[in-house]
Amino acid sequence: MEIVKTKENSSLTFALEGRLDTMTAPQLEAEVNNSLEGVTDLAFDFAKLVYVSSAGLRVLLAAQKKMNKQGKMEVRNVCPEIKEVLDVTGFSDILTIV
Amino acid sequence: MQNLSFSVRRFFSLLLSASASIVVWLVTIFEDTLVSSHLLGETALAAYTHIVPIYSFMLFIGTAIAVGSSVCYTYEIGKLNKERAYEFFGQAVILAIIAGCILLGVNTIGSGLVLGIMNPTADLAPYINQFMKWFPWVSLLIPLSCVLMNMVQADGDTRIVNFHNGILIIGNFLLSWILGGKYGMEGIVLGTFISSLVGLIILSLHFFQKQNSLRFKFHLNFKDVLVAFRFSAVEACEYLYLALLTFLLSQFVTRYFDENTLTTLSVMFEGLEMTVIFGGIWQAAEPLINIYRAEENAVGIRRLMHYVNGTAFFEGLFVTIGAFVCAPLLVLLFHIQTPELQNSTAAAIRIASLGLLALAFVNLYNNYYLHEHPWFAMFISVMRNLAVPVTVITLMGIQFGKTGLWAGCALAPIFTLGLCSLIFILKFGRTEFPLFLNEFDQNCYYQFDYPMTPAAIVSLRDQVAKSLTIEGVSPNIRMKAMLLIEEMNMAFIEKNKGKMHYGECSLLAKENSVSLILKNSGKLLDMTNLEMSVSNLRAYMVTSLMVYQEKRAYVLTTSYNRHVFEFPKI
Repeated sequence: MEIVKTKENSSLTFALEGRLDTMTAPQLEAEVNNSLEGVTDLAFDFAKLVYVSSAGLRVLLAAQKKMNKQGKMEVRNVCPEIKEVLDVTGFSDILTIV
Repeated sequence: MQNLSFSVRRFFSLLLSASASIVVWLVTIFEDTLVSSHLLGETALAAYTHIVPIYSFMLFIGTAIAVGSSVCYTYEIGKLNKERAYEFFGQAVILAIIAGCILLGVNTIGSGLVLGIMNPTADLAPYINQFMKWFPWVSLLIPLSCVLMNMVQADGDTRIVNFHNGILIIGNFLLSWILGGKYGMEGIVLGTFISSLVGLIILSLHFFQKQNSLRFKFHLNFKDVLVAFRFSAVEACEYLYLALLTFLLSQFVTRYFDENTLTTLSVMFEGLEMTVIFGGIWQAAEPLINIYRAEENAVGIRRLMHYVNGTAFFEGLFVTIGAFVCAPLLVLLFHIQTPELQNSTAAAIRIASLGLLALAFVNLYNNYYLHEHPWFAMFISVMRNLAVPVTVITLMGIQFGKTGLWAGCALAPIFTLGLCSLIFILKFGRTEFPLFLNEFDQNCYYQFDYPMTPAAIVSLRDQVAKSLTIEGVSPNIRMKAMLLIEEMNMAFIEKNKGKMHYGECSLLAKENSVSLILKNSGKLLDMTNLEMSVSNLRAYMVTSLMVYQEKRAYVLTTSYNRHVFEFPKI
């Protein structure tokens, strides 16, 4: 999975490409943990993400929890297949999907 | 060993207990023969030799019930028809109990008749009378013991089966020795009764194990009895063919050769009985092959049969070398004293042993065809146990004398193998040879074997995704299948920390749907169960996926986890 990080002032965007799964989630988790200081707007761009498993959802959930205290978080450009996974698991009610 | 697939690992784990199970009763009888000759002398040995055919008949009854029932049970489990499988198990237990009670009655009330048929000499009669005191109780237990041993073996509980075999072999020897020393022939049989009763209790412990999938369902139906007996018929008839073969060859040898040759021939027949160990190869492979048959999975059958063939080859070779090297010792075991006869019998065993490798394969494929083509299996059985040996051995004997006889013993299985292969090809065609898989080959099957590691699971998920794309499965269904593979396998890894397990994933693409079958060893866990406790996000994901996956099933199969899912293609 490729992670492209874009930071503008207090806004941070992670553009993800490939598959967010058991193997790649720790990589994203480390990136997120190291980058959230001072961030008030966090966004995950899923335009090029084709798959997400529970390992990836766990990272998103942890980030959402953190951002609830210091700002807001969005998940953008979710493909229909991943949207269905988020709906099935109830994550679409927890995350802000735009 | 590292590259072995899931089913091959299962096969090897079942092989030892299956081989031991198949000879355990023969070893028990052999032990009693040995103990009676050492403790009570030659007359007792002669009396015991008279009794052995009755023992064999009891075993035949037990085998006739057990073999077919375990074939039907594993096949129905493979088809996910659990209730039907339970019916076959229930029926086998009921039949075994009925048969045991009948045998108890016949051996108790009709012991006089049995003695009349045997017509023993005056010095043998007291020993046989003593034997018949406890033997009816042994005959009560034998059918149930055969059924439970086969069923527990088919259910994959090798630990219990091995424990049972060990107790039966060691316990019987010790008890027969101790009680035989105190109570004579009566004590020897009492030893067998106690050890087989303890063995039966040990086999029953399987019902308290977590991996037990055997459930008793009261069922007795004449049609189903016939269905089960269809698979037992070939094995049952083998006893008949072997009896005929013994009779015909003994007549031939008596007429054309001397008494020494007849003694050597008797040793040959005793040795031939021990080749039943080759049956253990099929007994280990059968539950796994039957599951693949029910899944119509030609890929799985081919992969497993590759190793089954290899095992038959090495076991055949090992027994050949063993018989060749140990021939003089085998002769001593049969109390042959004359040096000339010792040498000629050892030479005869060595010559005849050259056919054992072919015999291992004939035995294996005879059993393999039993399921799909019972009549062809019956034909092979007649060929290997009667027609070919009688023809080849007598012709070789007439042409080349004694050496020709033994060479005939070696050539008979080789001819049988060649002849049956030729007839198979002529009748069913070359493309069906040797596994009868043309019908299943029409199915579009993908099969993946993997160690249960995160990297291997992710790689498996991607391979399955690729196959699903080729089969035209829609992206959202593909996503669900990928998630099931990753989440379920990762959940298994979490439940089995610290121990490496292996899995198998099969994908059957039909016209409008796709079946996904996931098998793995390790702790038993039904992930289709919506009541499963949800302790982390992964378990929550699995449960969420199951809620939306209507066509799902979990069947505990030969002590491993088997989950089956069916998706529409679009």
